[in-house]
Amino acid sequence: MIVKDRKEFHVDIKKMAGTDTVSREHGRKIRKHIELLLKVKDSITIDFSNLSIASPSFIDEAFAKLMLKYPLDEVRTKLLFVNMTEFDRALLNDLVRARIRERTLLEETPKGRFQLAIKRNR
Amino acid sequence: MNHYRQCYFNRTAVIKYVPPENKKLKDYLSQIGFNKFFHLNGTDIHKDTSVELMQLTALNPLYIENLIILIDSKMRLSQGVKDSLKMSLQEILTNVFDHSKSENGCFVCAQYYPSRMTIRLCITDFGVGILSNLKKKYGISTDIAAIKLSVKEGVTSRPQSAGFGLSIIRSFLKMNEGTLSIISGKGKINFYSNKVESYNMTKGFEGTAANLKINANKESYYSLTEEEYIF
Repeated sequence: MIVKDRKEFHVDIKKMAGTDTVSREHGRKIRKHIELLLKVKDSITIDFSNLSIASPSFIDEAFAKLMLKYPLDEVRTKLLFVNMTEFDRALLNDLVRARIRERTLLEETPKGRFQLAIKRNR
Repeated sequence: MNHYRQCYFNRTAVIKYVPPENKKLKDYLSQIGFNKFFHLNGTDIHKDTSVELMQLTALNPLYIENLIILIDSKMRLSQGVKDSLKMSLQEILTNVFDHSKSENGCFVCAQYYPSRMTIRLCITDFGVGILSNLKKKYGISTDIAAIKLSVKEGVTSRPQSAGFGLSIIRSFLKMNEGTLSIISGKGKINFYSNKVESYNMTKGFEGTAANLKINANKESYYSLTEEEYIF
């Protein structure tokens, strides 16, 4: 990770995770890190240089699940995904859309809204 | 009358099976290393177009990479097929280690047919099966129902939301005109690109087996969403 300035951050997934880019557990570690950065940074560049992930579990857990906790606009404004393979970018977008669909369904019921509120407060 | 034969792993009996009478099938088991792996003092004749049976006790990214490099060296796969192959293997193995509770991990083997440009992958575990994982959460009681449910988006045994892997593999194979076959307990389902066939087997399989047939000559890149990208 290289700090560019106080409000910008660069996360190199390969340097950070090595070959641990397969399971949900691996993805959760990355998401927890991004959630900390989202609190203090305006712009976070997530760099996939020299990396092919091809794991729905990892991509869902690390990035798509952010849709259940943060507004889409905030994530879109703050996160920049660079140097992704075409395959991984397609996977990311597909999983993000699935999580947005899930959030929309949850928002329709009191129980669902309660579950989302818990996620947001974690 | 069926004559069962015991399979051993690490000198412990793991499963019983009926040895095939068909010579082709017998030879095939030999080619992939079945006898060497599961029979005491068994030997095999390995054939170049098969990837020998391998036991994995943990997610092993290096094995996955090497398996793809090996198949690629024989068939010159497109990047899209390589990525899809990697995704399928990683996701099924993640499921095995997250949900199967298999004491022996799982067994992976592969076969490739350069002339037909087809790859077959098989991942098997002797774990608790799909129904055991899903019945409580989803109130289902048959292996067939559990297998059908397991390939739907968002279905998982976890308390948290998850469960996209098998649905994505199913969608990819649909586009690829390939096949996903899942055997678990007494259920077997073949998911083809244009139809689904379900079978109730009289003899159950204690565990889960996933068999994938991928067409390596189809440039079916993973691109399920036709909508504009968000990121």
